[in-house]
Amino acid sequence: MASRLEIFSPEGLRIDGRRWNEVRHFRCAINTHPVSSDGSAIIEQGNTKVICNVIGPVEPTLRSRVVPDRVSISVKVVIAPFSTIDRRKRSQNDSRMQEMCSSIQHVFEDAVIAHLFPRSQIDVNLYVVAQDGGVMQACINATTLALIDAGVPMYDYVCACTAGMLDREVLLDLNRIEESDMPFLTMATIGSKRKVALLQLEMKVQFDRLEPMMAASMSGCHHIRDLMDNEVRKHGKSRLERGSL
Amino acid sequence: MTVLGPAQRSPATATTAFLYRVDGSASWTVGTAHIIVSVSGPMEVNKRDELPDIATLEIVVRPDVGVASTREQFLQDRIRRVVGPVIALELHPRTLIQIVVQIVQSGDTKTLNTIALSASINATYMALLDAGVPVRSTVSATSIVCYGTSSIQGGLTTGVLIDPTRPELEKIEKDITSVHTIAYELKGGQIERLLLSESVGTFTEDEVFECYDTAAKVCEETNGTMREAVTKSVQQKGGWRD
Amino acid sequence: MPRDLTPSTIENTFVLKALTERIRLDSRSFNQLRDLDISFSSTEYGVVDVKLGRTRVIARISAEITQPYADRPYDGLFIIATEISPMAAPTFEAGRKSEDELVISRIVEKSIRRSGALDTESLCIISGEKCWAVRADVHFLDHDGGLMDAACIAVSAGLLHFRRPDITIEGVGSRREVIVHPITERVPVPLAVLHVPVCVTFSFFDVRRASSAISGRTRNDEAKDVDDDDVEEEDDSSVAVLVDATLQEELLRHGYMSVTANTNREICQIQKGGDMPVDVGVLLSCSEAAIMVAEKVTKLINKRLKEDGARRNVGNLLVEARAENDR
Repeated sequence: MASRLEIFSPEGLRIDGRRWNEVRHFRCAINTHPVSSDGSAIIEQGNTKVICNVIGPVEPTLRSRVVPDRVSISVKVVIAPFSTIDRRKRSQNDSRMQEMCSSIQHVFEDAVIAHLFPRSQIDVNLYVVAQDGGVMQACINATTLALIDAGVPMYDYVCACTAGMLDREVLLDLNRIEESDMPFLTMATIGSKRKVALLQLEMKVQFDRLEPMMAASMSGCHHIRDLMDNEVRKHGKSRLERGSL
Repeated sequence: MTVLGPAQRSPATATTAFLYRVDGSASWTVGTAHIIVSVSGPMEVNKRDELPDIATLEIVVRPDVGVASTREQFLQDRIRRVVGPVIALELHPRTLIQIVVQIVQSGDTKTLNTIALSASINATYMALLDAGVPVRSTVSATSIVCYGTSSIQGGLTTGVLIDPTRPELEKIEKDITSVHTIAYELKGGQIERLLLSESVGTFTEDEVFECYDTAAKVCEETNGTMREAVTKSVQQKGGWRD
Repeated sequence: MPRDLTPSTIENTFVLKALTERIRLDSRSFNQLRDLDISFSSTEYGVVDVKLGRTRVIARISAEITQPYADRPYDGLFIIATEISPMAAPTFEAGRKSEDELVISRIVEKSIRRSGALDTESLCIISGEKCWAVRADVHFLDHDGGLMDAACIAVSAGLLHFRRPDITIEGVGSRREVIVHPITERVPVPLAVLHVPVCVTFSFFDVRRASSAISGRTRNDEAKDVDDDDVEEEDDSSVAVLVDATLQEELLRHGYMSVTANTNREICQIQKGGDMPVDVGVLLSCSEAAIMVAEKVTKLINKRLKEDGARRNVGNLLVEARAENDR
C-alpha cells in the first residue's frame, strides 16, 4: 500500500506536509494522573500517544529486586489493542516488546542518579494509546517527563527521536507509513550535548548515509528537549503560583 | 559369527576437556555421529530440586535440529538409567550434577534412535571422568544393526553393522531386521554387568545373545579408546609437573 | 542453579586501571579480535564450528519442505533458533530465557534475517503450496564473551556452506509433484545468500569512572563531576572502546554497542543499549571499524569455504557434475 503513496514529493514535502527536518506536532503534559502515581505525563507526537505513570522510589516489593548500591528500575509497556488499525492482541512476552522494555530500562538506569536511592525501586508503566510510528521514542520522552514529575533526580533530560533515509534524503521523526518504507534509526540523547544513550537501527543502510541520519536525529532530540523543558518550566511556574509546591 | 554373518565397525574417536566454563566436557565421534557432553557439579542446587541424602542428577539432551521432543526425552531417560547407578551420588548430598548432552550430528536415520543413544552414553561417561565426578565403574555402549538382504536366487545374506555411519544405514534401511543398543559396566577393562539392552525389531534368542557377545567385545575395545583419551588429557593437564 | 558471578571490586579496579594504561588482560590491542577459527563438518553440509578465543559456537543449517504462510505465498521460511543451554555456562538455565539471551537472539535475528542475508523468495517451490523452510540452530558450547558475534559468524558461514537437495517439479496444474533428489544422486544446490553479515560488539569503559574508583572518591564526587562537564568541553579520551570483549570485560563494561556490517559497506543493524552515554563521533567510528572487521572475517570465511570445497572435491568429480560456467 505504502509504495503507491508519494513519501517525499519533488517539492520537498512529505506525506503529512512536513519538510524533511520538521518533527511532528509535539504536545506534552505533565502531572496528568496525580492521584494514581507519583509522576505522570502524556506525550503526543503526531498521532502517536503515550501515557506514562511512575511509581517510586519505593521499597522493593520483591527481595530479588533489591540492589544494594542503587535504585532498580522496571519498565512495563502496555500497547492498547485499539492503538492500531489491526486490532490484534499483543502478548506481553513478545520478544520485540521485551527488548523495548529492557532498552528503556537501561537508558534510565544510567540517566537517573541511581546511587541516591539504594535498595529501592522505581516502576515505570507506559501505555501506548495510539501508535503512528516512533513508539519507542514517545515512550522514552514520556518516561523522562514522568520521572521529572515524580521528583526523581536525573543528570539531564533524555530525549529520543527517529530519522529515516529515503534514497538520499534524510527524513526526521517518521510516521507509521514512512517507517514501513525506509530504514530508520531511533536515537536517545542525554542533555544538550552529543551524548547518545541509545541507538537502534533495524534495517540495512549504506554506511555513508549513517552520519546524516545520526546528525538529523540528534538535532531532533535537542529540539524535543527544548519543547519538553518549556513544558516543565511552565508547569513548575503554575504550581508555584498556586502555591502547591 | 554363527547366526548373523560378518560384522563391520566404524572407529570411534574421543576428546575431553575442551570447554572452559563447565567442569568437564567430552566429545565422541563414531561414524557420522558427533556428540558433545558437558558436566557441571557438584554445585548449588535449586531449593525445590534438593535431595537430602544424594546429589540431584539433571540431564538435558539438546537435539541437533529443532526443539527438544519426545525423542530427546527418551534419550534423557535412557542415559539417566545407565549413568545414574554408576555415579556415586550419595557422596555429594544436596548438590546438583548437571549433564548437558548436545547432539551435533545424530548419525541416525529418521526412524532409528540408536547411534545417538550409544554415543551419548559414551560421551557422558567421558565427561563425568573429566569433571572428576566420582563413579563406581566404567561404562561403555554400542549399537548393533542386523539386516538381511534376500537375493533373487532366494538365498538370504545377513550381516551386522556395528556403530554404522548414516550412509551405511541408509543403504540397508529397508532390510533392517533388528536394532540393539547395548551398554555394559566394566571393571578393569573386563565386562562386569549388562546395564542397558534396548532391542527393536524381530530377532531370535540366539541372535540377541550373539549381539550381547559382539557388544561385549566392542565395549572392551571402546573402553580402550576411552582409556587412551583420558590418559592423553591427564598427561596434558598434569604437564606442569614434569 | 548457581547465580551469575559478579566480579570483585579488586578485579574491577585492576581491569579498569589497566585500561587507563591501554592494556587489556589478554595483551590484545583495543581494536583487535581474538583468534577466530572456522571449521566445517566433513560429513554434512551446513554444520559450522566457530571458535572466537574461548567462546565456541556450532551452527547447524537444515532445510525441509513445508507450506508457506498464507499471507506470503512467494516466500520461503527462515528461522534462527538461539537457545542457550547450561553447556555454555552453568548460569544459563535450561528452558528459561534470560535477558541476555533475549538480546542475543534479537540481534542475531536482526543481523541475518531482517537484513535479508538469505533470499527467502528463492526458497519458494510452488507458490502458496510448497516452499523450503530453512532452519539455523545455534548451539552455544562455551561462553567467554561475544556470543552474538560468534553466533552471527557461525550462521553466516553456515548459510554459505549449506547445500539443499535438488528438486524437480513434475506434472501440471493441481497435480504437480515435487521430486526431491537425494544428495547422492544429484549435486545439491547452494542457498541464495545475498550478503554476509558480520556482527561486531564494541564495549565502552568510562575511564574517568575508573580513575575515581582507583583514587577512592565516592560516587557523590562523581555526581559533581558530571555538573562540571557542562563547563568543560567533551573529550573522547574519557571513553575506552574495546572490540570483542572477553566475558570478564563484558561483566565490567559500562556500555556496549553491537554493529552488524557487511563487505558492501552496509550497516545491517545497530544496537546500543541504554547504558553509558557515548559521544556520536565514537559511535560513528565504531560503525566504520565494524566494516573493517566484517571484511576481515568474510575473507576468512571464504578462505575456509574454499579449503573445504577442495577437500570435498577429491578427484574433481563435482566439476563434471555441474553444468554451470564460471562467471
